[in-house]
Amino acid sequence: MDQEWVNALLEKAKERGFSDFEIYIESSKHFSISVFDGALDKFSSSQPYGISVRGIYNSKMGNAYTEKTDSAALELLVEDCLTNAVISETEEIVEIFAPAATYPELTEAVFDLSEMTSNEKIDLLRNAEKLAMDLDSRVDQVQNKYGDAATKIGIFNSKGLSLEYETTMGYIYFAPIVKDGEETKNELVLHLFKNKEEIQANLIAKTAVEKTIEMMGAQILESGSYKTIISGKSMAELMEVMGNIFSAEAADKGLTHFKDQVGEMVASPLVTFIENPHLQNGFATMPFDSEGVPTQKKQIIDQGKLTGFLHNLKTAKKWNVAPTGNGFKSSFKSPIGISATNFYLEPGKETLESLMAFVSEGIYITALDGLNAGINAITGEFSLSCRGFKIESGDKTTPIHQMTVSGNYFDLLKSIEAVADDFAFEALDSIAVYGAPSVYVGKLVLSGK
Amino acid sequence: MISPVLAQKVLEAALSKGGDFSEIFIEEKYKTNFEMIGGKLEQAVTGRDFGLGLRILSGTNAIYVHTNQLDEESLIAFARQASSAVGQLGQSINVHLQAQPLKTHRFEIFPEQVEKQKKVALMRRIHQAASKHDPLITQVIARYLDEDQHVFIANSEGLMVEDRRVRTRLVASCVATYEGQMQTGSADMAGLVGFELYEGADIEALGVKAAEMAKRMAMAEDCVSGRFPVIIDNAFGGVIFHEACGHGLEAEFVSKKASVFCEKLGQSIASPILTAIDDGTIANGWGSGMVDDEGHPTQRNILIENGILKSYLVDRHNGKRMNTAANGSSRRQSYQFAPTSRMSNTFIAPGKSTLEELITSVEFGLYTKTMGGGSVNTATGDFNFSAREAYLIRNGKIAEAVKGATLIGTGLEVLQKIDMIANNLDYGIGMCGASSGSIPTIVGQPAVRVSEMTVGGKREA
Repeated sequence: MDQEWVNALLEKAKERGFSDFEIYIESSKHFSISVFDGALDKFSSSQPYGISVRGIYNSKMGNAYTEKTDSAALELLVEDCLTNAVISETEEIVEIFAPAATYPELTEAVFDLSEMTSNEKIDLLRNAEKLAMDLDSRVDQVQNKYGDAATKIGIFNSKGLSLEYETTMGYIYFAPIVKDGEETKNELVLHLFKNKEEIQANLIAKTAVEKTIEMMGAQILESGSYKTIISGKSMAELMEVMGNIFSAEAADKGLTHFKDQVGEMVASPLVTFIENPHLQNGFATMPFDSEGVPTQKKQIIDQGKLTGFLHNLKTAKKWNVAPTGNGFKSSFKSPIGISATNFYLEPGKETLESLMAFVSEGIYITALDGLNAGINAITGEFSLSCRGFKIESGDKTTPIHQMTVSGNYFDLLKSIEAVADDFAFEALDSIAVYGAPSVYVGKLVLSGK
Repeated sequence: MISPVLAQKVLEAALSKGGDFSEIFIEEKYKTNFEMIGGKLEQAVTGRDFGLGLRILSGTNAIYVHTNQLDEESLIAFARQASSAVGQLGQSINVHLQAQPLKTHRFEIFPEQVEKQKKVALMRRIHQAASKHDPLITQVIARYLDEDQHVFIANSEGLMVEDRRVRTRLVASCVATYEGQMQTGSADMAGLVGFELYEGADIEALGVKAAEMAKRMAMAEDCVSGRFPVIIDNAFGGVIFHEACGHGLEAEFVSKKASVFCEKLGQSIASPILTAIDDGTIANGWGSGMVDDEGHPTQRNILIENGILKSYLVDRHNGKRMNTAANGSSRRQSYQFAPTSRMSNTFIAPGKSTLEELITSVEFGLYTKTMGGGSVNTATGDFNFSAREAYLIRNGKIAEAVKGATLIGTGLEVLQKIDMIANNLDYGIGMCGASSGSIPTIVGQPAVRVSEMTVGGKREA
């Protein structure tokens, strides 16, 4: 980090009339590959770099960013930030954060991406692709990707805050296309990892083939209401698209149902939602948020009871509560929003099999599609394309597809009757990761034949 | 952005250790993103993207790298580094770039020269019109976005072009609350056009449209689930073709036989009344450009003519695997993405019926006035999309409003089941996400009738 350059920009902002000013620097290393038919298909490697600034001018906050970092571009950046502050009309009190007395010490293993050469990563995919192709003659091809990323965040401001942190994460997925006559099936299995030992490409590829072949012969059931178990992955995806319901900002703008429900039962007593930025080896583990506020672990829903909201500095001040360290930006280009980090539904003690035995006759949903549009993030109403299996006499039986499932997310949280012990982080957005076990939610309406 | 001499050196360095094609894509993009919530400008962010993407093709292998460091020394080292990912050979390639004259769509008022307050004033007009439209309206959000993108594209075959793409968009979103039920509505206007888009435009109408949609949906009942006829009205209704078929015609999937539309050129894949077109040349169209992101002139491609599959959407890399020439369909969000085959402005051609004829033909079914987004798995053809504003049809007449309707099906099936097409073609504004990022696209159609579809909703039939 060029401290001199940062100090010069802070000085420039002061001269221009900003009362406080902050510089946010994001530098990353991205690597990804995919193979096709035994040969390298796509290879990508880059080190993007960008900076953004925000500053308070006449008690109002401005934001601006740039990827062009010559001195002329930096001049323009400060001017843009100023004119954006001038037009701001927000009535909320804005603040640039002075450094906290202490920050959590995270003993995180940082995955050194250079531990493996590009060729090792390519071989990993090629071997797994071949293994998957050889498992069953109906496997036509295996879509795949390996990626890893390291992102370094630096925050420096006029109140003396000077923080840096680096996160790393890798991912690998396989999505076999299985064909038999006119029938084609394609299921994707994604695996996130933090270090080399966890990659297990062959196992993921094998699981993906098994999961795809399991869907062969899928049927469309009669429309009706069915007792439903939702898989951990689908539950995590629902938590992701509904993530904003815990945002104090959304509550302020009248954009969440939870507005006046702190201290009330908003979910079944079996439900505990944990927001843990300090999770050991978590994929979104961070000591401070994008405003430099120390992060903290919290149970946002504790045995069904809503304990509070996630805050950034602005909403914490407005609500007169302590900041929670959830003021995050999804990239250096975005303004500060509110987000969770490692966010999960605490697993229960029962096995998935025992949930099925309890349900006896019903549906086990393993995949939801259309989450980008088929769910109203304010009201929680959803109507989504789904796939899964019939549950008959307590066992997972015939695969089902081309059906929709409809309901309301808020009602669903209240109607959870059992929580399984299977769990993984299987959904992610640009800031947070989401994890959940399988849950039995009572009856939902499915549309089919 | 960089000199032709330097571009030439970079393209040559990129092939110094192997590979048979190199390409650079340089971009400088200035973006504005304003958000007004409840009548107050809450977010104002502006920024500049700047960088170079370098692609090297070696057989069917594609290497893609990008950088923000555009000085000569950094760029040459960067290109050599990328080249070493291709092979260990030494080869000497001479590139001769030939500049083509710059042509762009017509822009009159560049957004960067417009005072920020004028942009805020547009949002305020939306807020005022929407918030006073009905007492049920409990929140109004207005967004204003613009971007001015300069691109410079050069490749080892000598191509060197520049394009300037100015886009602007204004979006109204409303929340209506009725008996504790909150529902949203939205409306927008946009184009590959400067600030002149808003001159004399009925800005208030956007606010009113969004508010009315939110109000109707807040008072709506849950949609009925089951299988019945569906009439999808014009403009954004075109998302049905975009998801059910368009993505499956992209060479990215076709070249690897990961699409249900593989090996079907010249065959009947749709109802004989259906003709569909992807046209990147529409003047000032939201998804248009003079050239695509490989520097090829955009084209009007007839995809399906009277039910017969006529063409795929082809980019260079995937075209190579298919032995098919690229057809101006290669796009990317920014220099950070390798380009691939994508849609631009895609629409179903108008038919002979009227919307009224479509509606009166249905005894019981669903009428969707405005569609929302969707998604598709091109390998299986399974698609889904949701309705933003929908009504039941009873005895040939539009009946009660319904919320939470989702439509699903498979591409090959639904294309055959489009059995009536109206004459009211219009376009809708969308953003399409795929492997080369999020790009502006038009989806369009006249109203169509699908004889039977699976409709998802909370109410049991």
